[in-house]
Amino acid sequence: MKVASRVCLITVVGILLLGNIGVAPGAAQTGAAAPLAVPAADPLARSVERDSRRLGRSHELESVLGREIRTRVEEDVGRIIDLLADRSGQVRAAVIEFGGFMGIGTRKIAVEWPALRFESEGKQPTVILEMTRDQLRTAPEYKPNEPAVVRKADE
Amino acid sequence: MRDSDEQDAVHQPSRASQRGLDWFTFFVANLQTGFGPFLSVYLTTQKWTQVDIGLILSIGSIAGLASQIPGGWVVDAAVSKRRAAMLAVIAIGISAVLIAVLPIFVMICAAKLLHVGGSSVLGPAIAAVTLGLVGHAAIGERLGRNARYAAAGNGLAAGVMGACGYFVSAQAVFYVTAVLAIPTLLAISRVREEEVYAVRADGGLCASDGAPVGALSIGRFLRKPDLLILTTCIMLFHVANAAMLPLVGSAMTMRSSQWATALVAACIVAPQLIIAMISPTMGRLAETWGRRPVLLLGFGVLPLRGALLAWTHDPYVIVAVQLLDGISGAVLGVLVPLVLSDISRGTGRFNFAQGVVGSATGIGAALSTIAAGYLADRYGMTTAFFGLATAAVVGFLVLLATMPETKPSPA
Repeated sequence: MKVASRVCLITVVGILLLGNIGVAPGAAQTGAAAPLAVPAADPLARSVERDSRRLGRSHELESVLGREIRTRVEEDVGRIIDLLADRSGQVRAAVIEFGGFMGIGTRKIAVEWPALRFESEGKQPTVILEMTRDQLRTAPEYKPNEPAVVRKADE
Repeated sequence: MRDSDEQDAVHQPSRASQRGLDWFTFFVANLQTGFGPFLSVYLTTQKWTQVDIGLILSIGSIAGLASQIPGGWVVDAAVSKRRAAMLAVIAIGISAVLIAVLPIFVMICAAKLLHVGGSSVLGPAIAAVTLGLVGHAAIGERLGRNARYAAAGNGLAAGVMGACGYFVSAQAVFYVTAVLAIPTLLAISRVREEEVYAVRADGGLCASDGAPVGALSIGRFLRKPDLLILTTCIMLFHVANAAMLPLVGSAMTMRSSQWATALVAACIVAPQLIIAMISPTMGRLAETWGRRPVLLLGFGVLPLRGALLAWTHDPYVIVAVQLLDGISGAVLGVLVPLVLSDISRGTGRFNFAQGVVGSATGIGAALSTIAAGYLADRYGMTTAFFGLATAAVVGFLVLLATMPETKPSPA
């Protein structure tokens, strides 16, 4: 049961991500318009197909949870452990765990979603955080049960 | 029943058994490294959600608390302490395999419970094998030697497994752990079964004439004032101690940008080096000075460490202050089983007593995490360290005021 809920959550995360890399706010409208032309087709699948054609190489969808992130200068600075969405379902921030040793002394912080760039150049797709290490370490700790303080790339 | 001649012969364990026990404590420390906070790092790499990780950790800590006393009781009841230790190692090995191969909720939950169960038996079983092997006369020195090998194992494993997790994968750490179960079993198999005298391993020999006595009822044993005082002091110690290292770690991560990981690693490994160096001395001092002064030393260093951590912000000074953790670590590692062996002598409840102290440790550590987290959130890290130092002062004063000397007076 727990496993099922986790799989479900990852799927939701995947769909949210799709909404975000694609033509995010317009995705629902394009989907709604499509059935007029081909009523039998699944609107979501069609919009995915259209987005893939437009976006070329970045059409492959990938899971986000557990992904390693790097900054412009450093590799392996941390890992995405959660995504934060607003009431409309829009992903606003990623929760990142970093630092410590063998799990002791790690910190969790929330960074604004646009500060993460998903680059598909090269063989290994990488997630780059457009922040410095100093911006990361001084960000306030993320607390699951409190309103999140999101660190922005330009602060 | 054995006669006294036979018992004397058993007092001189063979070199093979002694070496076997050395390596056993070393490898057990290796075996346990990956199961700590690292498990949640591994589960995030396996795309686990924070909710599920939190649930597993809660299940683990509740089961851990509940299993301590039954674990000790099982070891007292076991005919072969050696075999109890072996089964515990096998359980932990299987747990590591499950974690590495099948990181799905049901399996991780099963693995966690298997590990908790194994550990609750393994801790007392090591002390039981030790007491059964060397007897009360030589146990102080032997516990010092155990602590030395355990610390060497802890320090080395933290370094090796940290590197393994960083350069290979988090999963590899658990494969390595599973493989390490093999040398652990080989080491304990070198300890000769016939040299581990089971009745002595429970503290079941009368202090005056060395004859086996029936086990004291649990109700009466739990009313022993020495046991209650020691348990209270140990709990207070851990209320002060448990959250200090994690707090130091997150302070390092927050304050130092480039060397944070290496500095946190140094804060973990450095105290182990101190423990490896001074544990045998602590064992010897406990036999000459008595238990009380050595315990007071270990408890006295803790408030100092808390206060210094509150005072300094320099990462390198913090690593130096962490060396004090090595002193209290060595004292607690040697003196707790030693004092328990004094208290339980002639009761047949040595391992049960370790379970009692194990529970107190768990409760103290849980309170420590809650209190330090609250203080750090509300008032900042300095206040959190001062809060922990205050708990350490209380622990020291309670020990000073109430703990009697338990070293048997020479006949």
